[in-house]
Amino acid sequence: MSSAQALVDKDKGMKIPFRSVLSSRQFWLLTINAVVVIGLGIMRPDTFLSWINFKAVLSLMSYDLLLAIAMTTVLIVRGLDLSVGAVMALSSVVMALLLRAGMPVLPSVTGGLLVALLCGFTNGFFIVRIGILPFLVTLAMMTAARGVATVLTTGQYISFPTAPRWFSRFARHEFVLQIGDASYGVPVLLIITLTATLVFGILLSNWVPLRRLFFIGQNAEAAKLSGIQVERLTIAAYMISAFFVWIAALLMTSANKIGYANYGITAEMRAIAAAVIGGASFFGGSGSIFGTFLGVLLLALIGNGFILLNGDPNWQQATVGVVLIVAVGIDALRTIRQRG
Amino acid sequence: MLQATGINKSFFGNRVLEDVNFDVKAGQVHALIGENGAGKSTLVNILSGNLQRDTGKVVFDGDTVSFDNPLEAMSAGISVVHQELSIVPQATVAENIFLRREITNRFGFNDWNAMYARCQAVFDRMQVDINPRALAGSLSIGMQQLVEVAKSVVLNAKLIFMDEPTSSLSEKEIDELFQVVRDLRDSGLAIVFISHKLNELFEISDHVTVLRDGRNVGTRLTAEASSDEIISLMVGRSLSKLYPERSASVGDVVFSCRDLALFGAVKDVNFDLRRGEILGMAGLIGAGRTEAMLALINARKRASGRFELNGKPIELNSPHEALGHGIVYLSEDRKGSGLFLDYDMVLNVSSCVLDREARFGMENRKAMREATWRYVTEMDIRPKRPSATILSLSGGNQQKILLAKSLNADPKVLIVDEPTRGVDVGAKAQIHKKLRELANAGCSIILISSELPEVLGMSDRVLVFRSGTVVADLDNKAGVLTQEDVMNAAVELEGLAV
Repeated sequence: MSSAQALVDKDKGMKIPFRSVLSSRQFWLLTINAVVVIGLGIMRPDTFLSWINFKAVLSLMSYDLLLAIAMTTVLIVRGLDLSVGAVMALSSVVMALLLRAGMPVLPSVTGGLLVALLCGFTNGFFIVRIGILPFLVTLAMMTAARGVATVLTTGQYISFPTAPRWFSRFARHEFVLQIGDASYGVPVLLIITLTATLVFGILLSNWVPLRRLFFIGQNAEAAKLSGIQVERLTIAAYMISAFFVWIAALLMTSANKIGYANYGITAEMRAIAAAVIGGASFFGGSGSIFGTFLGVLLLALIGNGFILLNGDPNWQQATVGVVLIVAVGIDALRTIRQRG
Repeated sequence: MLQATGINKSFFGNRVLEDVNFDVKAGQVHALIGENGAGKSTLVNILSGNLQRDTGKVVFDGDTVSFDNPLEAMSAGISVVHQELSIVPQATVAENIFLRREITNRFGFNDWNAMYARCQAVFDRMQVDINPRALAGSLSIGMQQLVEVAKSVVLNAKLIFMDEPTSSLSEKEIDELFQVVRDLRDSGLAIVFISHKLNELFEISDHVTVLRDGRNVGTRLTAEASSDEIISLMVGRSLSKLYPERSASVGDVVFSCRDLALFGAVKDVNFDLRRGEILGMAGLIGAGRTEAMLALINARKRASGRFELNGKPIELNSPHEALGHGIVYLSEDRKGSGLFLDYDMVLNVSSCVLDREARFGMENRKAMREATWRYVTEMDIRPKRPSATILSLSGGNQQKILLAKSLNADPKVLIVDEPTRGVDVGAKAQIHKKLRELANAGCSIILISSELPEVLGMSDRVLVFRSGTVVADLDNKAGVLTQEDVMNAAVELEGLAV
């Protein structure tokens, strides 16, 4: 069930069953995630069940989560954005170059934001106004953005030693949470990512302009006749996507202290996989941020599990593939059953 | 020719057919009607081998029969022309007709000359002009329907079931189809004709059988039956009148449209719309009515057009702006461009006004549910469950939701395009009643319909479209306009243009 359907929490006089509060999709994902956590906890109690490990898993998945949110937004309007990884690299490179040239932090990161938004707008413009398939437009953008980033850097790491120290430190800075005797360090990277996820998740399932994206994806023609400004909102969806790509670029640039043209290679594929596992569909009109979060988490836990159990990393890829095909297969079966 | 007695059928404990008796005689057209869900399709499926009956007896051509599958029924001489055409558009007419039963020569190759000749012979017998070598996809829907009929004839069918064959045909195509049906009947075939449209069955059938709730509630000689009688049999009560009473109070001009044009489809459309008026738009399919209305809200980019609302000029640059002025268009294609099929009733009914009573831009779901619940009760939408997805509803209820969605936007000018297409008689009457109530409450309504009786029965005034423009503006306040008045205007000179 999509979040759009999940919003109908009750009919007149009916009690809310637990399963309809979370959609059944999210319920099962949560269950599977819990099973993986418990399984790994039993097999590797010391290494897996430590804050250090959780912190590493969550921090590493932050970038994937932000890109998967970007992907979910465009999937909802029946779009696709293959350029998320490449635009992240380009935006990162632009920020790093501006910082290296001695520009203050605010104009530099704004420059990175503008470049990302311009890419998003260009994607949306060609898809909506010119009518080219999202796959082709964003494939072109992916290649172009990666190409420009490589030209700008000649393939080198771009460090910015003269930039203010706080900029290259803030993403990894940890706020310490003291609970009883134990202390838990929470990196800013994680705080920003989770806050952005939470806020956007709430907005996407409540805020009217974002709610309209679902209607566009479900039936663009009907949405248009219902007075929804389809073209404008679809372009907006690509720009929102670019905004999340920029947050990822900002955090990555700060955390690694360099801009690099090869950031996020094949990230778009992981983003698609996570979003689809989380309930987004290539046919548009469905998807939720919580579902996408659970999808990213599942993929991250699988990766973590392979490392902790000393599994062959090549099998990790294969496992992700199996999870994806199972998730999509269940969807297809459900659709067949519903539509009779 | 066919005698079915005491047919029973249940699905998962639901009785869909109960002791149905149904006789069809050779050389006659037998109409089968009933509301959606009355059991027509189930009966046809059983008699044509698609489903198995639970109990009952079927005698066909003197033999007691029980078909395990459609092929057996077909070889016995029973075939079905389905509502959804099964034409392969990329293949020729002959290839379609002989699909999976090709005539082969002694080497096992297809004998195209024989097949073309056989096709031509069948078309000659049906007196239709179709080239067996033409691509099926290049034919009009009406012609494709005739190809479907030809398939049955090629098979030497003795009994042909036709399931709503006219639902997507124009008046002219319907006439052609009816001519073919009469010719086949005269040559001794039996034809069972299933339709929602009463006027059609009066035109074509010899007998009429009415199904209601899985029972045969009456078989009549068509010549002796009246439409009131048939309708009261169908709905189980007598609809005192087919259409609601006209309003007495049509007010001043609310909206006017000048010089509306859409490249290649619509030109020089001018009209005024009064307060509380239902303005019918009649014309043949393709006369440009739908296109004109889409151009009016600029859902299709118009070439020209000026509009006034309550005497003030307004801009209508998009459906969004139109909605802002209270001008709402209800699509003729409820599945394609009307409803959000995977979403529930609440989201569909609210889709035009998601921001209503919003707080800080956040959806007000309580208000959305309450509004939906109001329409569900008011318009008797089934099931009474606002969280039901649109896909799970019957056509009539989907159409009601579509109307509820438009009403929820508080229209001042409501444009309804084919508001009762594919809807059963009961739902149709409810939709008509709702539209009239709305007009009485001061809303102005533009009604596009391909069913002339509907246009005449509902409208205070009728605009007749032909070739993309308005050719007649006929007053109908007294309700005395006739189909001839309208059709004369709609088809005048049409013959010369061909």
